Amino acid sequence: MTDQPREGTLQSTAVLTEQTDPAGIEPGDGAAAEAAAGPRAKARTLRRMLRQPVTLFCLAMLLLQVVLALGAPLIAPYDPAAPNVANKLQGPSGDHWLGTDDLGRDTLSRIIYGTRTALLASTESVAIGLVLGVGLGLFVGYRGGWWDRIGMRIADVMQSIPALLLALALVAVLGSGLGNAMLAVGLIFAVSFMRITRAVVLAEREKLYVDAARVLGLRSSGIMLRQVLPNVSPPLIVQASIALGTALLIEATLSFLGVGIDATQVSWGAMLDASRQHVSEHPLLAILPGAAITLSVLAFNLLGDGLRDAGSPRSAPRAGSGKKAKLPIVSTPVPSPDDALLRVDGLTVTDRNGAQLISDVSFHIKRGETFGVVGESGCGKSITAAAILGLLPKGVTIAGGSIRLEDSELAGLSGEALRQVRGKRIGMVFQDPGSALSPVHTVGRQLTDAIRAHSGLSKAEAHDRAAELLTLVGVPNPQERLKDYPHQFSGGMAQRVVIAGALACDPELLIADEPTTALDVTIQAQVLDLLASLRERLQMSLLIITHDLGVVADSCDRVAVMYAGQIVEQRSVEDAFAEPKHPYTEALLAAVPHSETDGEPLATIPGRVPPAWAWPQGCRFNPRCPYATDDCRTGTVPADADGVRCLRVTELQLAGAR
Amino acid sequence: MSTDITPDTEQSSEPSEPSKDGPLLSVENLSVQYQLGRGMTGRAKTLTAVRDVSFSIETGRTLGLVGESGSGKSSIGRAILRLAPVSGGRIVFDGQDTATFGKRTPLSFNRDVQVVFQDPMSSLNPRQTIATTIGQAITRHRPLSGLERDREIEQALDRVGLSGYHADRYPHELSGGQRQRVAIARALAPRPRLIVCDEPVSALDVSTQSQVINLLMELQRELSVSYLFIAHDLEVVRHISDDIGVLYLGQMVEAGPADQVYRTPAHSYTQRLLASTLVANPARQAARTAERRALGADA
Amino acid sequence: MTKFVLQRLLSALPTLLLVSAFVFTLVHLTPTDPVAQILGEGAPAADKDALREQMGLSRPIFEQYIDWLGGAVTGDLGNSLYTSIPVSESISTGIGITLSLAIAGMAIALLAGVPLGVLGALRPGTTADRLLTTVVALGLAVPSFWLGLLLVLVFAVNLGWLPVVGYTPIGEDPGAWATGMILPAIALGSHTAAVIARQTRSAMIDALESPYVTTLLARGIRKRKIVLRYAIKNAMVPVLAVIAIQMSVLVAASFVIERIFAVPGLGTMLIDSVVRADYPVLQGAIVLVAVIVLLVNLGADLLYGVINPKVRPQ
Repeated sequence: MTDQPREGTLQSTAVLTEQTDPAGIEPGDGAAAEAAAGPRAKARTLRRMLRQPVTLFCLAMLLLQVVLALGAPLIAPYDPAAPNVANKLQGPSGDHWLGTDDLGRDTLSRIIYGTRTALLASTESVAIGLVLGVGLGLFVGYRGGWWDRIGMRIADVMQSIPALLLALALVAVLGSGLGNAMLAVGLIFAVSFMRITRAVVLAEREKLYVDAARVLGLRSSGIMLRQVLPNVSPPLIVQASIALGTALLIEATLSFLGVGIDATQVSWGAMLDASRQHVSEHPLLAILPGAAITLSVLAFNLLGDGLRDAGSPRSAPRAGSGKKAKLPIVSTPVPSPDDALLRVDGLTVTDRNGAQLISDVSFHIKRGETFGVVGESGCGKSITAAAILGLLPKGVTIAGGSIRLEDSELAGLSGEALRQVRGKRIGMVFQDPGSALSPVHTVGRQLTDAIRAHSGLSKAEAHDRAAELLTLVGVPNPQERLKDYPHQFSGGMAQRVVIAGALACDPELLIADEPTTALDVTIQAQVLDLLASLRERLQMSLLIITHDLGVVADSCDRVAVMYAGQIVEQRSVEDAFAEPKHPYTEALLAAVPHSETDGEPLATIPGRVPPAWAWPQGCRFNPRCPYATDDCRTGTVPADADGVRCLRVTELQLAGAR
Repeated sequence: MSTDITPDTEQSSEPSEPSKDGPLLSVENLSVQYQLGRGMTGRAKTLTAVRDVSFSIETGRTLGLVGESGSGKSSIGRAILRLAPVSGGRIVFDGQDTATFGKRTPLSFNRDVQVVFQDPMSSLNPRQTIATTIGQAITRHRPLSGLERDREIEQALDRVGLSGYHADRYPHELSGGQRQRVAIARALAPRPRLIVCDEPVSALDVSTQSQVINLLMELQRELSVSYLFIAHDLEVVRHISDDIGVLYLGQMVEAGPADQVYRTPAHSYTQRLLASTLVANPARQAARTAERRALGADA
Repeated sequence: MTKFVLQRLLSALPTLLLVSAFVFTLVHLTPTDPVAQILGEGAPAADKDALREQMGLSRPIFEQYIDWLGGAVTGDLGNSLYTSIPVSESISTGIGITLSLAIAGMAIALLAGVPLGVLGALRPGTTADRLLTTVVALGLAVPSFWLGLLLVLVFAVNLGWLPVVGYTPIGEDPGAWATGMILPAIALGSHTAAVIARQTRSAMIDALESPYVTTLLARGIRKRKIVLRYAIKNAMVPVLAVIAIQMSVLVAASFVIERIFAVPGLGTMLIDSVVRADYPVLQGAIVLVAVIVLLVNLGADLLYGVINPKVRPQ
């Protein structure tokens, strides 16, 4: 119906099923989440599933259903269709465990035979839906163009008629009977599966690996079947499982309405319909088939949920977690000058498994100073910044050490006391301005809220202040732009807005976590210049977290180099860059291409940063260090007066930046 | 200087004879336009990503294209790879105008021209092992027996500094640098003559970045493959390239030998870009900072 | 804005046209012969042909469609083959009842689903959240007609609090109308409530984990304000799409509920017309439902633009 897709179009495609879960068919997330599942990961997914008790219950239910359906003639004590008027409307008894219905037929036997109908109906319709839907979805998704437009238009038409209604209409055309009813339901499913498949195909088609396959000259059909299709299956399996439940519900509904099954078949829905006249005297007649339907649908739905959870990396236990012996929490006090604004002392942060994300981190920032923390990803820079403002992720906690802002201790602070620090005394700027602002609120709203969080300003006053802030950070037309939404700003301008928000209440310290990483080169320089001039004008201190040594060289007075959760060197930028004292600092400086490295190979650091649960014994840099000796592999390495953690600090002559 | 670059060339694009003497790749007055979403009323909007860009690359040489987002640098690479539409100009590879290919790209072109993308996670199929990914790149161009194929896969991995045991891994089991090595191995598998490297090191950490840059340069010495190296970092581009083209808003504003462009930038945008590029040396950076603030004051 | 609405309405037209053509064709493929139904199987062939001629059924289907379409535009959907009452007339009484039931069901679903989803998201993994998740899973699995039966059994038959079945038009006795609607609306809305609660919960969790919430926290904005003003509005973006889908699901589900509670809505009429092959009623009703679904989607699109500035027409 709509040509211009809205963001929810994928979700809104799920018209057919009362329980199609939109979250499940979202191609981006779903596919990415499942993306980790190759055959080996598949086995892992299976194991994870088997650890979920609910999923196990569902599998058991499913097995029971299959057994009942296949073995109905052997298991059922009576012929489900044989009337025995003498015995009608009996309560439970030794002969009839669950009693009899208005024609004297055995309820237990009818429930058992009903399983057969239910299972047959749901598998049949889902199979039809899958075969048709996946085929069509692959086709229109890959061909695109007119095929796609026609396919989607037809899907729109089919889905503008509610599923049940369409089933009714199709039954009217095809004639009643389970087969026809389920064919109808299958056709409806096909539309939904087609949409899901198409959505995943469209998302996968944009992936670079498809481009790479095309550049390799692989055949289109091969790319489709061998590369794209496997990525479609995880969301489809989840949806198919849920569709089984939906099909069962629709079958029951149609039977209940008397248009589904014919008289020779036994269906839970029809049993319910028949029970209505006697419901007040014989409630069991209505309760039992309903409970059977509910349980079956529940099993299918929960199975789908379980499959989804097992396939998503969120629930994946982290490799190596819990295996590692806990490191002792060491705290080496480092003297800091009296005029320090922020003093971090022996800070250790652990995750929920006790792995130390950062260990014994100590540094201070003076008033008006720009302090840089530099290192590769996974070294604990951002965790350090987050710990200062109490913004650590769930399960990650401060295990030791202190963070003092002038005279107040920030470690362990919570609630209102913490809030009084955030924004008011310490402001923070984040890496990606695109996601750091709420997309559905105006910039003005977000700025005024930040201003009013710590001031008694009226709305109008806060609005004026917000405009002032935008002027301060160099956003032109502040009054106009306050009405705009974040997506109407370019990356550089959005980052200026984020900075304005951080400055809302005149903080003494501004923490900038990779403030320019997401920006273009020339924009990055502008933002760094802005930060420098703001620091001067507002007399703040600045903490810049970055992986880019150039940013440090440009903007910082002093720098801490972090490696594997520890600060390994902490000195003035000039000194650290000219005469590094730690081999890691030397290696980082040498690895950057610059004007002198013409054609010659760059220096490299072998290997990579280990994960937090596998920090090496001894000096954490020793496996990658060209100067490491046996001593470096045992014991702990304390930091010296320059914050350098190297046993050979006095003997080594290291090369600085060229 | 063996690579000939003619920015904003006025030269007529006369059909060049297929010859082994000319440049390996020559791009003449290339323009790339994208069709943007078409409403029901059918009024198509177009976005011109690249306008009238010309350059050429000789065998065994590297041309660096540098620019910021929106400069059209990736579109040029994609047009050469036939992943983006060419709306004007010509792309001549080894003497043959690629426009003559029509809809179907000949397999020989696929063999000769390969690619390494920025994000190795999305450029490798998450559901294929490394061996499968590289194996199909090899066998598509050289039908081999299973045994020979396995040996070639191992050689391919070895050449990019990975071991045989990586073959059975999935991309998510490797680090970013290792994934990029796999992407390079896949690109090398058909034994190409030109590799388009689209920001191949931008997603990597400093130490890994230098490993990959060294690998690319080593391979070039060994195999005489040519690179079109696309990146936003002028320092990186300068390090790896023989010649540099600077792109701004879809046009090539400056081109020439790497050192010349780097040391004496002529165009004001190149100057601004260079002044904005950070260096990990406080003294030299201080000079650059001063320079860019002076330029900023002018602007 | 007006232009946007008009544009949307215009773009819905082709779909509507296709829907009507599809339904018309479908309905006319029905093997049940209305003529035989009216006159009885054994009626003389000549009588049947005469009636068929009189009803215009012997003409090519395309002509019949164009005729019908011409009438439909002016609000004339033909007469019922059985009662001869104009279809538009009988549908308009039925649709009012069905819609009021569906809207009541949606109101219940929203009132229960959104707060429950938000609460679950605020404390994921706690006992309360797990309880909620269980209730939601049950709500998704229980067939609404069974729930309706159970509700009647407990509240009407055993406790006697509410009328068992039957429908009082609102014009006659608003009080009786309201009490009569309570059980059907609950039976109808519970499933949708579960769907909305689940979607709200997961959207809220996503919203609360997003970087902008970290930013807001870092600005010192109170948690309560972040949840109420920021997270909920962001979470409603995906929930809205679900609400739109559920509205059409509710319309269809209300057909079954009507049957249990003996409510004379569109569903009762429609099922009768399926059984009797009453073309004009059947196609009129289905096309009308399709129109409603398209309007609901249009409304959702507009609301979507209100919530999400990115898709707002410039």
